[in-house]
Amino acid sequence: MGTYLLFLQKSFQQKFVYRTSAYIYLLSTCLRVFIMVNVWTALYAGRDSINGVSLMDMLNFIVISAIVSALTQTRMGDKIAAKVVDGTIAVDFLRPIRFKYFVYADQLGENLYQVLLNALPVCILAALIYGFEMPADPLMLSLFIVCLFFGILIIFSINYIVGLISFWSKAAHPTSWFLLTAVTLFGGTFVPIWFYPDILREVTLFLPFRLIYFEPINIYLGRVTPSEAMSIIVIQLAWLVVLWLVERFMWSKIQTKLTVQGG
Amino acid sequence: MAFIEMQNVTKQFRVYPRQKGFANALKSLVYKPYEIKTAVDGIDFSIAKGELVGYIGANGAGKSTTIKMLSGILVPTSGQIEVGGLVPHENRKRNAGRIGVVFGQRSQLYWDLPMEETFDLYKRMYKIDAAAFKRNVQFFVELLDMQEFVRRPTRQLSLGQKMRANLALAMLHDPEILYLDEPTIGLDVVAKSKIRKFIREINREKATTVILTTHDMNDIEEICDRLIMIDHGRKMFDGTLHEFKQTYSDSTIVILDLEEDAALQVSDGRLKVIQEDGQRKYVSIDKNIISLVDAITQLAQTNRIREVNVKEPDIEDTVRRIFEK
Amino acid sequence: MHTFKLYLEFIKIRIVSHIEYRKMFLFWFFAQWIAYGVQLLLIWVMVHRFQDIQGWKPFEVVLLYALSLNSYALAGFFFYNPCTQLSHLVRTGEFDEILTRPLNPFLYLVSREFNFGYITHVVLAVPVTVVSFVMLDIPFTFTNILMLLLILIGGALIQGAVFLFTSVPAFWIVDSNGMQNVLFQFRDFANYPLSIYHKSIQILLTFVIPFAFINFYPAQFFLGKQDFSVFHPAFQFMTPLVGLVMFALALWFWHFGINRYKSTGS
Repeated sequence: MGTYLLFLQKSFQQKFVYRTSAYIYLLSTCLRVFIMVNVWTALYAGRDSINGVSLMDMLNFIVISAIVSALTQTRMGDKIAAKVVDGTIAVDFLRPIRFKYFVYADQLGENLYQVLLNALPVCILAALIYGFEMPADPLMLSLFIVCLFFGILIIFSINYIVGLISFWSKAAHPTSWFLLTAVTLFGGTFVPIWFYPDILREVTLFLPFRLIYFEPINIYLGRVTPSEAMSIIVIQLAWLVVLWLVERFMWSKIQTKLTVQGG
Repeated sequence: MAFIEMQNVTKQFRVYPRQKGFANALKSLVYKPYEIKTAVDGIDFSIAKGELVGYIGANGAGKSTTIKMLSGILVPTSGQIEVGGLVPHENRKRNAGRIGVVFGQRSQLYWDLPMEETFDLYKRMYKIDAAAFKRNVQFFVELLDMQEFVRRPTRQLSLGQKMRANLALAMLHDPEILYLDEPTIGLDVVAKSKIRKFIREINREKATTVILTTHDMNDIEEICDRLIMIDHGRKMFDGTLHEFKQTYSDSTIVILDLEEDAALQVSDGRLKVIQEDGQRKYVSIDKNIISLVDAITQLAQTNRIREVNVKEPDIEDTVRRIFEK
Repeated sequence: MHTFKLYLEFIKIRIVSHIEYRKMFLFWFFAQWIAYGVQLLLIWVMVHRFQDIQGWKPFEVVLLYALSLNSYALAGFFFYNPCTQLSHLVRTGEFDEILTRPLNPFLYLVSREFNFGYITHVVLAVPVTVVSFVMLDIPFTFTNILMLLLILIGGALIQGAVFLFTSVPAFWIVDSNGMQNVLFQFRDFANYPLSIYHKSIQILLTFVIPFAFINFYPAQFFLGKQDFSVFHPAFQFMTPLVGLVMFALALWFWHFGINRYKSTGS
């Protein structure tokens, strides 16, 4: 565990070196939040609520989603693919650690950096300007944290599996584009699923993407009851088991592949 | 007026030291402190048509800056430059049509295409007429031994093969002057020798004037008639290779092959034995203290010698010594 | 004429090398197409759910998006690679090599670094433009088509100018890519009607970074709208003019940058 924490810390520190780009990202995030606040305010046009969602809920959604998206972003699929293509993956396999957790720790370090130096300042700024509500109920807050944690695990697992595909394809595919698109469409990161047409909303129920981002925020905003929140977490766990099985299966195939090739 | 003429050319530029901290970063938006560096400091030289000139100096001595000014990329801070009757930076495009440039390891070839395709593009870029183009391609492909890979995409070529292709590319339009910046860097012995042969050959065939910068002194020994050395932007030496050795090398090495059973006897303290290899002995003499004739006479008196050889100092050692001083 | 053909040759050779990796190219094409398509779809979903945004109907907003994407693609073909890579080219000295050629460095760079990948954006934006014309009952008259072409060219010039303005500092700042990233973010403003923003933003996007001329003002010509707030309705016809002026300024800036590079580089 300590080793992985060290990897996490290293990747955090590495990011910290590029300070000017940090200011730039901060500015970009500010612009994004600012645009979305303007858009949603204009859409509501003074109305109290649409589909039972108030403008205040929506503004909270935008602010909290800045943090959630910083925590759930991942490039590990691309990184793994790049390493497979240029062969440096061998170095990672030589280390006496679990490759998967190394990759996770590396990504989490990057994400925590983004939260601390990018999302959090923007959130505080936005909260001061537009107002912001914390969940009143500590139970809901803790459920949110649990749900968010599993959400991060789900997107990491998916992206890790996508990265493993490169062992077969031996090429850096634009997989992160596809994944990002899937998360945007089925995860409700850009337009919350509350506003989706019925067909699209039902499709999202059969996929894991809404559990990454949309459901934790839903719990945060108190739009579900505690028991509903519990069942969401159970569904998350079920998905995690499925993803874990897929990943174990692929991993065993990769290991035999490597032995056969003598790698 | 000589073909290439530089008169009292100076090139200065500003360097901005990196400031640490957020406050300094903000301050630098308004005012950025800088230092003036002089890359080239009052250099004069003139080069005649058809000369092969080696331009040497340590890293940061101002070699590349000179080449860039000669090719019209940079404007000198002061001084006059004329290349074949043109001022390069004022007539950059016309000047560019008459020069060929190869900068180090950087490739001009399209990564995914065979070099032939890039040749065709250059034919258009430099408006080369069909007959001359055909003749040159044939000549270069043969001279550089490229038949085997001329149709292969660049990405499959070795470093040496790419370098050869780039040289051919730079010469396609029969430039009057060829500037080469480290043409043999990182290459193996075979590739190096092919490139050297090519440079000598095109200089002979086409009377191309060649200026090359290099760190490899074998390039100089095998290619150049003349040597210009600069250090900290100033010209230190300008003359033939022979003169260079005369001026800068103080020591000569005498190689003695002794008779089977003889042991080396050296009584004079001015003679230093630097290496022994069986019956072969290497003796270094300092020409400032003792002449070569005296040294050999002395050695012959005290030893039974089968054979004597004199080795001129290695130019690489010489240059290294100069820069270490 | 000879020179023009030469530049076309550079572009042709770029496209050929793209096609060398056909499978990969198609994969990327598809990935980007879907990504932009999904964003467009979601904007439609969002506006449709709320009926309109500041009086703009869903397909009117889609038209705004398509106009912006089209002109971005036209500019991207030529300027994306040269501008995002300029600081790299300067740092590695590759830019010096460009200057050793008997060619105009700007045209050489733009044609040599042509990015065929933007065909993706065109293949999405053109049909979407046509669909929104149909859905909004805008007839395909000669005037409308001519106007559309002029707007796209003007818009592409504006986008190209922004590319240039953000890349030229690479001649004296080592890394100017950060600034570019922020300006890419600014393009997002233009995905929605200008009138939803505060006056100061409207002025910024009209006079400083004139993205409003790419889609918001000219779209009103087709839609017969009068949503100009404090600005003059004549703005709907000014896209080509704004494009030319912006691009001329950008070219001047480019020359300024090169001259500075020649006299201050080492």
